[in-house]
Amino acid sequence: MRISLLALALLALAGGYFWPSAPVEEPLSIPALAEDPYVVCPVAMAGGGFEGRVGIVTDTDLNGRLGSVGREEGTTSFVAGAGEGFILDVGTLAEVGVNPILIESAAGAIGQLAVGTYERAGAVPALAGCSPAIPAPVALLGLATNAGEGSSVVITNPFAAEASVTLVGSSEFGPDTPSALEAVRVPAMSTLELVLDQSMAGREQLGFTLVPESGLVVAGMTRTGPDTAISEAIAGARQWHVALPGFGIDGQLILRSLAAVDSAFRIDRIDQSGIADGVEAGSLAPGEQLVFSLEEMGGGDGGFVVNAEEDVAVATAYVGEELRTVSAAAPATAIQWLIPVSATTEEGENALWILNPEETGTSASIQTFGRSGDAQEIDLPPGTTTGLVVDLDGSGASITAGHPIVVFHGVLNGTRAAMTRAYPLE
Amino acid sequence: MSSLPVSPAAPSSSKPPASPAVAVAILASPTMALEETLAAIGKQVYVPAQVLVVGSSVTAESVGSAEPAVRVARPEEVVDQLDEAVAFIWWVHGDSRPRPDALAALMRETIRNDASVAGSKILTSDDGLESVGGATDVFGDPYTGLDPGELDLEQYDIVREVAFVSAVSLLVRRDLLRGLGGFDRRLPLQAAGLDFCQRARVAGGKVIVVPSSEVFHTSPCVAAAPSWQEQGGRHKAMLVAYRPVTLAWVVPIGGLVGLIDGLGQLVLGRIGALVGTVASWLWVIAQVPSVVTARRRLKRVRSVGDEELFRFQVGGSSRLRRTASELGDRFNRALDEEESGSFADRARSAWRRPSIALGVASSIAVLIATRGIWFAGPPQVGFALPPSVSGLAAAYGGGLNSAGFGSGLVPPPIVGFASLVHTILGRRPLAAGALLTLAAAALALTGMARLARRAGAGSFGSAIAGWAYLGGATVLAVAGTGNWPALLAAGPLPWALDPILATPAIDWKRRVGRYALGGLAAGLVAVAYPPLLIVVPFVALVWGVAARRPQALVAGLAVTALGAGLILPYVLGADLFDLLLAGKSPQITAELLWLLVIGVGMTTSAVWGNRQRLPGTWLASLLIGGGYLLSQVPRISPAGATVGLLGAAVGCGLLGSILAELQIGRFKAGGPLLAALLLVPALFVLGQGRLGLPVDEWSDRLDFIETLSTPGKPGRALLIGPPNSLPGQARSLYGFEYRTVDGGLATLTQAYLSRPGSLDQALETAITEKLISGADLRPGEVLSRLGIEWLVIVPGSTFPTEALDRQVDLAQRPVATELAVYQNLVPANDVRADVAGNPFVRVAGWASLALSSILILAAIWGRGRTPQAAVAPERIEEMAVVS
Repeated sequence: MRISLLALALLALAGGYFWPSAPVEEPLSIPALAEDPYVVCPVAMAGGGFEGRVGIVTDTDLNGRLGSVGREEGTTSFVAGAGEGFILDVGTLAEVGVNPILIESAAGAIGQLAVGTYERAGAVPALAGCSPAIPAPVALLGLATNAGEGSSVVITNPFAAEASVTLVGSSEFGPDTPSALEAVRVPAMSTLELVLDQSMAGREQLGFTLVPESGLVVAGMTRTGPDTAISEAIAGARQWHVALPGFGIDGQLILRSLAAVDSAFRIDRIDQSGIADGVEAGSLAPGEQLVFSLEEMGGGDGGFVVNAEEDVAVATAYVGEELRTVSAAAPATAIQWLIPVSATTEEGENALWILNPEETGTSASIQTFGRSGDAQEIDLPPGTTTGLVVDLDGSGASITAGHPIVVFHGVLNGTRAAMTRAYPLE
Repeated sequence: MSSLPVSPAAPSSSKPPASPAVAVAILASPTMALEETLAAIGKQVYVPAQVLVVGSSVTAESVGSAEPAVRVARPEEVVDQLDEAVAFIWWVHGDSRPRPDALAALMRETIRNDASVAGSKILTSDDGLESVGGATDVFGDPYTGLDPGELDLEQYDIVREVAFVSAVSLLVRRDLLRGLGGFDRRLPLQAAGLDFCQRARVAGGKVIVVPSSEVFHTSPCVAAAPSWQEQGGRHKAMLVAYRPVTLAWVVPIGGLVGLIDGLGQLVLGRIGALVGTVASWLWVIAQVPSVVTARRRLKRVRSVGDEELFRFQVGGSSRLRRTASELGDRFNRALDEEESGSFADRARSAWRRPSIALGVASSIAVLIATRGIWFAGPPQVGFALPPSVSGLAAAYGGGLNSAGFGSGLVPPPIVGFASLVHTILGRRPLAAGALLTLAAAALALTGMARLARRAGAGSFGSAIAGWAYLGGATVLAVAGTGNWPALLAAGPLPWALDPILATPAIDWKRRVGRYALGGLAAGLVAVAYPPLLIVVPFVALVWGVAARRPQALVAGLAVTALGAGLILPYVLGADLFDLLLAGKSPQITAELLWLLVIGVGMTTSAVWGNRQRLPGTWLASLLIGGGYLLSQVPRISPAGATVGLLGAAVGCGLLGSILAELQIGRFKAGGPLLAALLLVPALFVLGQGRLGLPVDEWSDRLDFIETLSTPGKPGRALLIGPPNSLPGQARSLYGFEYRTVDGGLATLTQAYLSRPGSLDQALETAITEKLISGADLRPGEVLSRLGIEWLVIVPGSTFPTEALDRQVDLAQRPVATELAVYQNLVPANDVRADVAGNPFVRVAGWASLALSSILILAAIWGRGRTPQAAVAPERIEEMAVVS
């Protein structure tokens, strides 16, 4: 009896120890972060001589809210049907100069939404795009602070969580970052406008990489002088397309590395005879910025394609006697493009620059939002940037081509001009 | 007691020749009938030369037919009234009845021993001993060496020099009486006798007790004065007799001893002792002028130093010894341990008794093991959370269960019980937690020791059992999960098992008391952690078979039923499965090593153990084996594993007690060595100071909520963290856990979540779609509709925070270290589940309360010990030999 009970107890101990434990149930996988349900226009302006407008066009039914960053009181709701667009005067929200605008979806992903800003100060036009924040380095290109020029960096944090970023600058003098900009804290729901005229005076080719350390921000730049150029921050990509608008002056192609390692790059020229490989090639160190003359690369009426092994940012800048414009290059080709905002007829001429990078010609139709009637049809020769003035009169438009193209739009006003890229639809 | 035999007592039959004249002074009070005393004086074979009745209020009625020669108002006037021939004065109380030869014996022995003061043997009317002289301790407290009610079997009949004799019958030389100024009339009678004897000895006199002089004392004069006054009188006697150098250390230490004794008496439930000590010292302060006068008078006649007083003093403090002995008796009674020997003997050897020594050691160990809990309360982690006021209504009053979004289901009964203690203690949650934890530890140790004794263990084995249980690896594993209620339940569990293992009481009153106590303990187990109650019938079944005692099963079922009666609201109004899934499963540290020690221990006790301990061995083995096996069943609920390991803990306690007293052939230390190995985890408990509970994680961490929340709002916080990191019960989602807490304090009342309702489902959707996916920029809007004002994220979880970086209505606040805290910028509503209270549960709550009251009363009523003889048989035998 003693032994049998002892054996029973020992057996229970052994059984318990060797009893295989139940397999651990893997928890359900965590849902992925939804597509950005918002966009931010960082360099919308109202007040200080500027009248800004934000244009919004969408390809889906959308209801959402629109408001000035950090000013909840002016927030308004909107409902837009597929293929519809509307324009909002920034001044109706606040007139405080740089006044970033947050456009958010009230229900789910914001879809294919094209948002842009058009600023006007008298005869000075300016155009820039809008974008969501991305948790990766972005570039601010085409700034200058040399004689007669002034530049600012705009960093806006539309969110309730504080953010901090690092700015890595470079200019014709090489790496060029004031210590005050190395770590910038951006309080929740606030906007910083960093005026560089004094602290970084005398730079002709100034650019920054903005690295988010915590939280999220959306950035942009303004460059002032005889004309005003504005641009949103440019996210990294490995291929870029550049159209040549033919302003009659030499432009610059600005190439900046956003990678943490060296990156090889190659710039190919597109013209009617096809693609000329490697008009420029080389390697970019992390944070390095190179500036190329479009004319010296044989610009003409074609375009350029930039390819890199790592993420780079590419922009074009045109600086004439009175003309200043900076535009991000297009990171992709697409069949359909949206133009969210334009100048009215009184304010200037709206122009389109459409690059057909293919070796075959095609045609495109231009449909102005809110205006009934036939669309405008144009031919797009191969390897050519087709520039044309269109009658948009303040409205947005849609451009659809036979095969992938690249579209930029702008405003011409005498000797001044503004240019930015259109929004590709996937 | 130190005593100096002078000479054997000789029977006295005749009046000595040439005898000195003796005057008798009868101390009278209005309540005394002096007739009998005067009659007894009149029958003295040694005829007194003079009889005086001393007392201002002596009446003719009280004197009766007797004829006193002189009436004197006050004692100090006696000397003046004496005839010149009188050489001795015999002081006799007016309520005493001396035997006819009492004075003769006193005179004979006084003269023979050249004594200055002689006292009689004072007997009660039923031949009980009241005084045969005695010693004191250094603080003046008397030590007679007599047991209460001890009979006179002539066991003390030897003439001895003593520290003092009773003032009931005291013969003193006239010259000494004059020199000392007589008795101190400010002192009560007993203290006055002691004071006089001490002064007589300091003056060079010898104080003897003459047992052959027998005086019956018909009423206890001690009762005439309050005990604090007697105590004060002893203090005064001490102040008068000692030299200053002695007083310099005796007075402060005496005060300290009085304080400690008073506290000890408090533990015994007597508040009067502490009050009396204070009152006695206050009285002494008022007597300072008379002390100074008395010291001056004594100085004139002082002929010896304090060494003479020390000669008849017992070591230490007799009061402390007496109190310690009483405490020891209480402790032993708790363990159901009877110790032989008279009370006086037990008091004398109090510090050397194993049960006392082990009890003191265990108490110190408990204090060390819980030192981190005394003032801060249990660490706030897991379910070790402070109670709140509303818990009692929720658990027993049919009120709303406020956990999560609220529920109509009754929370576990510990919520109500802890709330009750919290309310009783003046709404001090930390004190309530600390008290409950300490009480549980004390109950576990004493209960397990008692249980081990039931299973045949001795003092040493039972003490080991307590620590092998409370400090064992299994309880440590349970405590390590933060399952504080289960730890509390481990306290009364052995007490609930006591009626099962106890030998059936013949006395039905005691049987009722035992069942009531067991039922009450089982009720406490059920209140603290209901699933653990299942251990009781299991033990009953095993013990019934192992000990071949079928009534054990009946006892087990009865105790279980009574215990379940204390949680009626929970049984009737809760979802019992909720609790089974709460918390995490305990895991034994160094499991293989523990199994090895247990396996060897079980084998050793089964093979080498004696037959009497065999049922205990079987019970221990089956509890350990069965409990451990249960805890290892795949997919067993946390409660199942907890119950298994706590059951095994009881087995470990019993096994420890068996091994501690087991001698294996020549290797006698083998058993104790194995028992010591079982105690190794207890060292961790002692070192850690939290009784095995994990490190505090939530104390004060959410204080900001109460401070910063919108006034009038619930201040509800959504907590998100890694598994098992949140206070109380939490819901699991995508590998992390979450729960809501109201009011900035994770309380026990909110600890247990009920099954998810519609609001819980809405919260889960909000977390998935808004906080994780970031479907829009305004998760705060949805959270506000759920009443959530705060989002608190504990680092280390799988919860992704990317969406929180891109929203506009949850503002990050740097208010807590190591926590990511967001405040909802959208005003939160006070949202609760739409449920109503349950009046039926309230009725059940009253029923449980009534049952617990009945059990308490029955336990008190039936707790009497087996009647014992006034003097233990062996003591009587010993006395007979002496006689």
